[in-house]
Amino acid sequence: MAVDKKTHIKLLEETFKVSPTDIVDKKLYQHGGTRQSKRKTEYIEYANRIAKERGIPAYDPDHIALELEVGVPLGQRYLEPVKISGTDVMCEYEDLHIMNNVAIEQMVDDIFRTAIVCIDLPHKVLVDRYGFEVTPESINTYLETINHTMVGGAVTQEHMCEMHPGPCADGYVKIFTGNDEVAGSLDSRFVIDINKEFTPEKAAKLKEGVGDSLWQVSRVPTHALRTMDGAIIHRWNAMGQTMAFIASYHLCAGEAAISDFAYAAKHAQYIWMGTPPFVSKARGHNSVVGLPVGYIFDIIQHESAMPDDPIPVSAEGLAMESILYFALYYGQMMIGTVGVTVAPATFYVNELYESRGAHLVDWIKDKYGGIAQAPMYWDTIHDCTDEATMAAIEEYDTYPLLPEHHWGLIQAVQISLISSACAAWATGKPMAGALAAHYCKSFVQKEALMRTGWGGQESTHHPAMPAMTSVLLDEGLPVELTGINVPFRSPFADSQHYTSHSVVAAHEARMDAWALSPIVKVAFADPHLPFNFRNVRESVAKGALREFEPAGERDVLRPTK
Amino acid sequence: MREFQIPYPGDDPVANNRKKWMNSEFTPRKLREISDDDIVSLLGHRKPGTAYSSVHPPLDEMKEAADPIKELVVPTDGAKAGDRIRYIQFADSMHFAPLPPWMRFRMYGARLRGFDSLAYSGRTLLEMRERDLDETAKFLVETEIFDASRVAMRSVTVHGFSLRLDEDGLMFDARRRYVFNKETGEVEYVKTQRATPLDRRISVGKPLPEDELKTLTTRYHTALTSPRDADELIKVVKRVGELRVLGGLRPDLVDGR
Repeated sequence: MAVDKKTHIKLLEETFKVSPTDIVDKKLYQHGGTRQSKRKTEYIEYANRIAKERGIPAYDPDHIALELEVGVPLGQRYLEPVKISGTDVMCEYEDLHIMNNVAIEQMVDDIFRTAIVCIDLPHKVLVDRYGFEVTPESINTYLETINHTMVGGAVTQEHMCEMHPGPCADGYVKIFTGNDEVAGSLDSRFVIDINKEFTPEKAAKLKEGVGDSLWQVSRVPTHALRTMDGAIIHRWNAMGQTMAFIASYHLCAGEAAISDFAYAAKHAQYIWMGTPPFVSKARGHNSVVGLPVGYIFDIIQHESAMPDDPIPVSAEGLAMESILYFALYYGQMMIGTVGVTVAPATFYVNELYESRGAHLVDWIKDKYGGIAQAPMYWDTIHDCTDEATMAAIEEYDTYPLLPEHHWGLIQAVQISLISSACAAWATGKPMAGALAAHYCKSFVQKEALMRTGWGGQESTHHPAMPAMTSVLLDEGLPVELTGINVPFRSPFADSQHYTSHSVVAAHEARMDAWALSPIVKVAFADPHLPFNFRNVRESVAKGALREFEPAGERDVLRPTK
Repeated sequence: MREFQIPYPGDDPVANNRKKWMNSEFTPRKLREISDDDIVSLLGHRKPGTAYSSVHPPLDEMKEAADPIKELVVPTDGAKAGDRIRYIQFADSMHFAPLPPWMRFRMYGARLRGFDSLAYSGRTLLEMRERDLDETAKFLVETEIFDASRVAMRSVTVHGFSLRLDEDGLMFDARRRYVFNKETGEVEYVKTQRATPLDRRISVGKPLPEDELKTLTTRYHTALTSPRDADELIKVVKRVGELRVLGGLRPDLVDGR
């Protein structure tokens, strides 16, 4: 659907079926309770069967609230359906809970089961230390072999159990390089073709960034990630890779040279998708906590509409950030269970971001002459923040349906987020976007409305402003390299949310081919991934409709029902 | 306590209302009378007429380590007696509750002693020694700080402040702690702030007329005093924001600004 500056208000009017300017809900307390929700009704009926079978009470909201009188009776207000932005799919918020949507789960899995390693150095060891020849044919043999070992296949020892391929169908290995001649000489089944996956302009920039090096991308089976956590990915890839090298190049599995080779192959040029989290999170590498925010722009693959419109790609990034930082990290890893589940979804439903963005993009073009043209001055940051904040406040004041839809004052985060986008689009600088968001939350909207977010929410935004302008390791870092592991970012998701969004919005505004790593950008252009990173919201919508087929399912290993 | 006025930029109706609440000498209008016992019932921490619980002996009976701060700060009555710390929490509707959370927080800072508070998006917690709390809660509920339709006492299930109003103009409360009495035009609490049923209804009076709520408001609103027109406030926050970055990153750059 075509989005204009009022699309989100029209959608609210359609879904609530009342005028968006009404301040009174005539049916309040009479909306039908839990039974107005198809999903909650389904949960209750399903849980009743579980409770009956196992003899232990289970999920039972009406009993808890209405009979025991100890909880809140759900559904006294209208539980509005929402439209997933960029799609025509309507769903309930229930369908966007990270634990209810297998597409969302697969998105997370596909990011963190990825192992990227440069195989230039092991090739150099094979040539210089062992005296072997490395040719397109030998590389193709290696790639066939590693596609066997990566899913638990044995190649050097006989007395080994192997894994059933069924749950590991998403385990495979591909390769890419910026050298067209080398890429063309390899078996195309294994190659991520930069020329095919990107526009000519971006392909040229990416090939320059990747250079002549040969990069291997291993997709460790989702089944393994879910059983053993992200820290296994490096080890898993190392084992599968070393076995494949040993087998395909007939190496000796014990001589001194193998230690040189093993280091070169497994560790020397390996890229993690995330560093380990701080101790209390008690997880290893490849956790969202250690994901540098610059990777968000690199992972999403949505078609750009620049130089005219930075919104489509920014909106895709926003959906991913909302899921990773708000729903997964804050909502589940920090809190868990009911956690923060509606709030993250508000960022990618009802075309709200697109509608607000449409106004701001016009305002930026009018004021600064185009996207990414504004100078990096205080005045720019302030003016962008003021316009984004005031325009949003005007909507909340005019349409009482909107603050109800942003129940719990998610509006505070929404206003800061759009301020971030505005400054990032105007300047093309992530720092401008992040500063605008912190400035908005700490000062502009706080003094305008005398409220911000949930308890202590703004406490990170005051120190964040000076800290994020530092590039020292223990203070800030360049914006693209920051993540939840930076201390002032970790307590609250919204702080992280703004930073990552400013990176996506600014790099899209600049029409960059990548933000932090051309390697990561190409690695996620792989069309064989179960989750479609070309259209994050479309995939999430499939999950909401229960039409998405996730990987790693154990159906072949369980009793037939 | 020493008299003081926390300064605030601007000279529009909202800025002037804010200044009023940040003046320690300002006396808000008393709008209703609620008995001490009813306040205790609404708080729900103990039954009316029962003794306060103590967490330590009276200060007079305690041997404390020498501390010059204790010589400077006069303890509150609740602290002297060793009362436990208890709370009252208000939810303030975004539809013209007199004091939104940060305004309420700042007002507490301007006129209360011996308290802890936290401003959330829609609610503000206030914790004090119990007898101090009883006295303060009475002040907070009896005066124009409290509007029967747009302010509510809620310790749990606090949401509702951003929702549309019910047909009687009351802020949504998923625990239905209060009802509108159509005969008297008053709002009556049927549950404590903790959502446990009361033995009898407690009236907190009539809601203020909409026009009066708009006159009292301490938030900028597009239809009244737009935040876009708060020039002096915007100028000040720009300066504070800029200096916060410079002061935190390179204090030397603040010189002369």
